Amino acid sequence: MRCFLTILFLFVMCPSLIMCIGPLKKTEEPIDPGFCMNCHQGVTPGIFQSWAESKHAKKGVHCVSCHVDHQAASEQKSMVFPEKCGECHKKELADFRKSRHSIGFDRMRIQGEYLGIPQEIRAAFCERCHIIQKRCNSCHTSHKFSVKEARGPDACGSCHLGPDHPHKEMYETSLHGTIYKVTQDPERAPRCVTCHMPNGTHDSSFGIARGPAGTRTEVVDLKEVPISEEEVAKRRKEMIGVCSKCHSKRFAQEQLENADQVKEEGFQLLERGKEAILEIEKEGLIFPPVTERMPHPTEGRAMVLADPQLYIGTSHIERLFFTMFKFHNIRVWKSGYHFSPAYTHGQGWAEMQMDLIDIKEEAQKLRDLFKEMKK
Amino acid sequence: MLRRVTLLLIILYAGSFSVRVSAEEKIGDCLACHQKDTRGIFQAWVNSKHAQKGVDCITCHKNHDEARLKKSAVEPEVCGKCHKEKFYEFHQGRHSVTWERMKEHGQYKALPRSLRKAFCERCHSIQNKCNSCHTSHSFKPEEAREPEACKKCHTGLAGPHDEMYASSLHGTIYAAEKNPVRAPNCVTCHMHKGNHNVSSGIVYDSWGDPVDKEGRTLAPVEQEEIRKQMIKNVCFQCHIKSLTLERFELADQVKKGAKEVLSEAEKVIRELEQEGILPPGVELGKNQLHQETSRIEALYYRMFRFHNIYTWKGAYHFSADFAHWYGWAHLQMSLIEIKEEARKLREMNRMKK
Repeated sequence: MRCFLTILFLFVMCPSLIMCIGPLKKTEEPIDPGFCMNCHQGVTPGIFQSWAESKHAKKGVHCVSCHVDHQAASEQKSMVFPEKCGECHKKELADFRKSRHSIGFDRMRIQGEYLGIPQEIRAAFCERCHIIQKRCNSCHTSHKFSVKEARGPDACGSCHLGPDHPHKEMYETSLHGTIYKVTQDPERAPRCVTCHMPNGTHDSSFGIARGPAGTRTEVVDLKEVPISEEEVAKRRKEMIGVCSKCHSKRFAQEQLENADQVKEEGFQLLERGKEAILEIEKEGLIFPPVTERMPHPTEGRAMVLADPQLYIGTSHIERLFFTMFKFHNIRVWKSGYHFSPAYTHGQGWAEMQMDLIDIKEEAQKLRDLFKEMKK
Repeated sequence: MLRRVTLLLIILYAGSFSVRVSAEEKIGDCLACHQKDTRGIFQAWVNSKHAQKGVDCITCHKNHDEARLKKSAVEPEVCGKCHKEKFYEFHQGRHSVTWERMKEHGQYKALPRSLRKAFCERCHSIQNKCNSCHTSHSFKPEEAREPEACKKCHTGLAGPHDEMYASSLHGTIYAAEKNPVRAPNCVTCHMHKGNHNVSSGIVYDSWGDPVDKEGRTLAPVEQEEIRKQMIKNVCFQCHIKSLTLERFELADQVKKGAKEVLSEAEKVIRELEQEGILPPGVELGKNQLHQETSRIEALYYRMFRFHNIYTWKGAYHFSADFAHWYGWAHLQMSLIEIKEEARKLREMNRMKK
């Protein structure tokens, strides 16, 4: 408290002193933090307060250490990029660059789904999360940048939730998540960072042997090059290293291999949905036909089933498949690895089976109603 | 414990002398039974600020007969006798017209009486009870300030405000730190500095129309003024002006986009109505019912009532997940389904002829 008051006193006094000594400093010279505080204590008291309580404040890291100067801050809408944080947090930046987080924005920008959304509203949707490539404060939120906050499952949960990747919901409905919720003790049960960022590594892709984005079967590196069998085995071994803090290696291995099986089954079911639609396409019953639609932003005039399929302007039968692959199949296999039976079975497998029923029924209706018309 | 007992004795003592209107209006009379019969509410009251300040059973419930007649309900007017400013503010906001609006709505009228009670009335009764948020009998402001207090009504399919907030960065930080200085909770924005006008700073009604609580359309200048107030009072605590304005304008764009998708779907259904495939008098949107319509109308109901709300309200609450995946993506998928349903209806109609 005393320390805080001293800092507060200095910041209140500094500007007045500067005012007494001479004219305001020019931008080329380093700005005194008091210069910022003079206004920002009053106009943005929330972030000032958070900063004052932060470790940054205690260690003398202040506004201009990160925002450089007022003009630079204004031009960048106050954004501070990971490179800036990395000037001090070198290891964290190096780790971060190994992770898929570090290509989140670039990958989004070439995705068909992203390009299919009107440009003026993309920033409200995809960009809000994929921006993680450019900001450490997605997890360590401004201006406290608390490590404790970033370690809690809530920090991951603001992006990793919802229909397309309910990691938060899967975790919460697993026994791991249940025990953590009750005890708040990461020694009793793992939370997100225990498995995905062990020992504080900022390579959040640690130990993940499947992916990326959950919609493709092959495992690729950051440059989209498939990784070798040896690399996959190495990653699995690393992850089992985490599990073995509580579980026997054999048990952990067995559980993960079972999840591999679940994933295999999920993708096979997906193939059956695909086959039914391809038959309908062969019979010329897809409406609107691909030739009469807005071309796919990356695939052109082609029927795309599964990634990077769009949810806009397709036929109804394709749209049924979209739900099956994008929402339900992901729940089946990712929940397999997150050990949530509610998601892998009820919200995943059962929904996929019902999607398949819908797809077949729709195929039959299309034949019954429109086959004659075609002739 | 000793303090509580002393307090109780003082109240019992004071009650037996000072509040003497009729025999059964003595606090002691109430407590003689209710300490045992309804000890949960008794205990909550004992720990309340009301008890400390000598506000007891009969201050609010008047007397036993009257309390029984009203099933113990206490209307805001009674609370307002002391809490004058809060009562006045409450009347400026939409919470004070919820019961009336509900009773006018066709969907309410179409429900069997028992269902009305279990469904709509449980939340819309807020017009008639302050203890929707300040729950009985401790009536704590601290409790009412937490997102959970708002959540019990503002949740679920028709208005998942809680879920949107919880999945925004604001909600995430608040959940982690429970500190409204670090990140806003519901009341930071919607009941700024304890203002009980919950509609302050809000331009749109539940249906997305820019109207006041009486249903009068707000002029663009008024809309701008309301937004300005919200931004000035709340957002500027942490955010700079340019970024804040940009965020709101982005949400405006999202709202507009959702409306365009809805219009496209409405056009498809109206065409079917004109062609005589659907019977005339199709009701879409605000006054639409979720029962006994055609399937294509039900598809629109979901679109309008759920996905549209997720999209635009999700955008104003800065939940990308709601705005995009629960909202926009589902709006688009529903549009596909509506178009396909229209095509099938036409074909079946043709085959019948």
